Amino acid sequence: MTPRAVAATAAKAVALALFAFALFGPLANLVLWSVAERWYAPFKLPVSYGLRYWEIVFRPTGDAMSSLATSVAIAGLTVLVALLVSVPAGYALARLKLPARTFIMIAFLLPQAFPSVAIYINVARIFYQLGLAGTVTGVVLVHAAHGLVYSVWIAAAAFAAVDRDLELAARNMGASGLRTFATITLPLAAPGIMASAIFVFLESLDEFTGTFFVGVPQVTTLPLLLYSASMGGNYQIASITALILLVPSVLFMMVIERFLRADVLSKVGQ
Amino acid sequence: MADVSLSGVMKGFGGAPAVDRVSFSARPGSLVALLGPSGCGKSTTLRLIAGLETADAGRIVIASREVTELPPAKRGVSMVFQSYALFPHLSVAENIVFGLKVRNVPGSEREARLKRAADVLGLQQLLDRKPSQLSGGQQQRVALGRAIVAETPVCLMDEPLSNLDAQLRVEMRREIRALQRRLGMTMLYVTHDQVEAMTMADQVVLMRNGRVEQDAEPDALYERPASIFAARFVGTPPMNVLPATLIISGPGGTSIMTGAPARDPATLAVGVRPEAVRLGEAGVPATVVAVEYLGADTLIETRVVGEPFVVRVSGRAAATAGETVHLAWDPAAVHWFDLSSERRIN
Amino acid sequence: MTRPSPLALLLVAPALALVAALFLYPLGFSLVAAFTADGTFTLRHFEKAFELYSGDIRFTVFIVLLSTVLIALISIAIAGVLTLSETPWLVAALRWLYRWPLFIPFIVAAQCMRTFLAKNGLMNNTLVAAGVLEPIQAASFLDWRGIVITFVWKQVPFVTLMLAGAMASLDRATIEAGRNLGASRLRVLVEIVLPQVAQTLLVGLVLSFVTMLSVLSVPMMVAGSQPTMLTVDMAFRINAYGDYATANALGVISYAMTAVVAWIYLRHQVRREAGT
Repeated sequence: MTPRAVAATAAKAVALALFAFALFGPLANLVLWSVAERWYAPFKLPVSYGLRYWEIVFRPTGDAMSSLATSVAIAGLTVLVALLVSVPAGYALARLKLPARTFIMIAFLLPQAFPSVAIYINVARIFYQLGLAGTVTGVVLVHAAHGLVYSVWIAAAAFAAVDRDLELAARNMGASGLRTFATITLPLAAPGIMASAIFVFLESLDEFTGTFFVGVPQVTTLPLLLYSASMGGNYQIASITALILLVPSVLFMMVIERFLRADVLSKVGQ
Repeated sequence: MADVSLSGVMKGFGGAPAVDRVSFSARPGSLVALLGPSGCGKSTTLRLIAGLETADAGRIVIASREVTELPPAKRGVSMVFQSYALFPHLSVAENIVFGLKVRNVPGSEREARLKRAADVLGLQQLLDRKPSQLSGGQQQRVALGRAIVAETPVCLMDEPLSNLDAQLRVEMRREIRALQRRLGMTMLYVTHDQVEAMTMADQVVLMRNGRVEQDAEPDALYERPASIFAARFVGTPPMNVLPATLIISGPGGTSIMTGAPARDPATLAVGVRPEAVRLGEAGVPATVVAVEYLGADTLIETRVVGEPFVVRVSGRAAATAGETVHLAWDPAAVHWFDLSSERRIN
Repeated sequence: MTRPSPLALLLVAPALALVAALFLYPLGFSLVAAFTADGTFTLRHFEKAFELYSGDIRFTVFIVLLSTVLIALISIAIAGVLTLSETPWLVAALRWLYRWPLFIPFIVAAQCMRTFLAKNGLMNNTLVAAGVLEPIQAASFLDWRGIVITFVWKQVPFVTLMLAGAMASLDRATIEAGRNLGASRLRVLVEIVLPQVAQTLLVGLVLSFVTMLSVLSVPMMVAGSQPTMLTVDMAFRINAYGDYATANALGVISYAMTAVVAWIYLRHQVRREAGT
């Protein structure tokens, strides 16, 4: 290699290393805090390490475990609600004649395309009048509306990616419309719908703003626990909670391409 | 004037080399066709010359200057891509002068060259259009325009006509050839279409499996193919090539050995072009399988000792399927090949 | 269009009802609260909002615009390297690296940055240990810089993912033609690749812009209380004073910011369609 080529390679390696530090540095700090029993200035690294806070978090009777249970329950219910309304809607958008189809598609995007805090403060006020404020039902509804853009758009794309000839073939062999849907269309669209369910689940698990306005003080999800621990200066609990939230997100990032095939992805939003 | 020469050029992408010790050279102002089936390495060879790929070994010289390690911009070659590669966001005029702008050619000079190219290619009315508003043939002209305004001595073309319909292809073939002669460019032209190569080129480099199979002028390629592959790739329908023993052992077989190389017939393959075969009273017996009347001539597909053998006779032939005919030919029309190496003998 | 099927309308009705009840109705509610007092039209709440929060409005616009510009530049750089680099190991490493923050929740990102960017955080400590920084120079980044860094860290992978996908689906021959015509790789990126993926970039940036306008956790956790972003001010008006009128006026101001970028997007879209 010429000296110039060596210098270019070195420059690339250094740039890559800096980039990696910028990406993983913040995550590394999180991991450090989760195992730091004592850490204060001016020490650059924790003064003593240990898993004491992990034990506190995972104590069956602790706040964290009940928050985790609440979070998972809410996310599960949110997926249920979202799929119940979005599978029929996705099918209609992909296969049936709808007036103003584009407007309907955009309508599902709106909850994500508007500054959400301004909406949530009013949802909270309405829910308060209805007695839904501070209830799991209220939080589930808010999360489902927020995740609707994923569930409806991806479901519509998944149905659209199913070869129409397969349905026609089933109908031609004498299957009823409903039977064709249940035995041909739905199973073929299932991976895409599964992906949309994962999206909605994660979206709900990670949701902070809506829960902050609608759920408090009775409903405490993991993000809310993280928030109050962090603002209360308990960085260990906050960091461990953050790590728990991180696991499904990172896992999803690694497997998303397996669920969302390119032919479905290319139809999202159309 | 420019010439292009390659010596011992290699390129692999893991596995068998895509381009394997390729050497040839193009005379200044000539049109050289790189011909071969898909995957034979002809496009990779062209991309190596353009600098879009880097050679693993060997030397590439353009206009007496070694360019093997140079980036594409410094090689002094222009290129026309199979997909035309027009920039969709730029107008026809902007597409054509893009390279001149990059090379800081002064504005007045740019305008002059643009006008010249537009006149030559008949693009005057289309300069403000976007590529998406043009027909396939017009897009092809713009791609040519972009290559010729660069006024590089060497122009590379990668299957430039494969996206056009048959009639337009014939027209563009003539047009490109005329343009190349008029501008005196050295042109390297990649194609898988033997008709295109035979009609346009001064010299044909036939490639197979990454290697040069034969490097010759079109008539030599047709008249003296260097191998069984070359013999069967050029000419429609392809040359009939059979092991010599297959024919000799049959009735009337010994007659074909007139003028054969003095070797063991078991090592020989005999090749006869369909158009060199006559139907007669004596000769090699063959069973007619099918008759295809094409108007000016007729293709008769036969079996000789079970092997397919095609005959081409002018006008309408009086043969019917199932009939037995006798095939004869002039001994001078026979091509002899070595059966194991598949290379030409004599 | 042929006759719409009643079945189709029936099937989308529940989903639309959810949007209407949980988005459109509260949206109307917020507009009414922002523009009326005791049942009559008034701009009083906006006067109050500007009086109290004009600094924060400017601050919010500044943060979101700066973040958007940085996200655009970094995403273009990464996607450009992924598309145009001829160094396979660099491309492979970068492709593996850049996506990590993609699905990390904002609140987790905020917690990471809250520790990483602190005066005694891992960033300063690493810089000091590497000899780049004197210990005395170490300063906390937990202010507007922290918010911008968090936003950029979180949104760059998203925009890069979209952009790199769009670049990958371009006709590679146009890139090679540019190189053949003598353009440097930077020039190919700016003059040939970017104009062809401008649409995708714009969509990614618009979505990021709106997302950043909506995030509450990052400004609350990463920066101190003054100045801060409108989301925090809205939460404060509600939680401290139950002042829905001013909070909703601030909300309408943030809608207006969204409307501006939506308008830019639509104008670009219209011009693009007129062009082809």
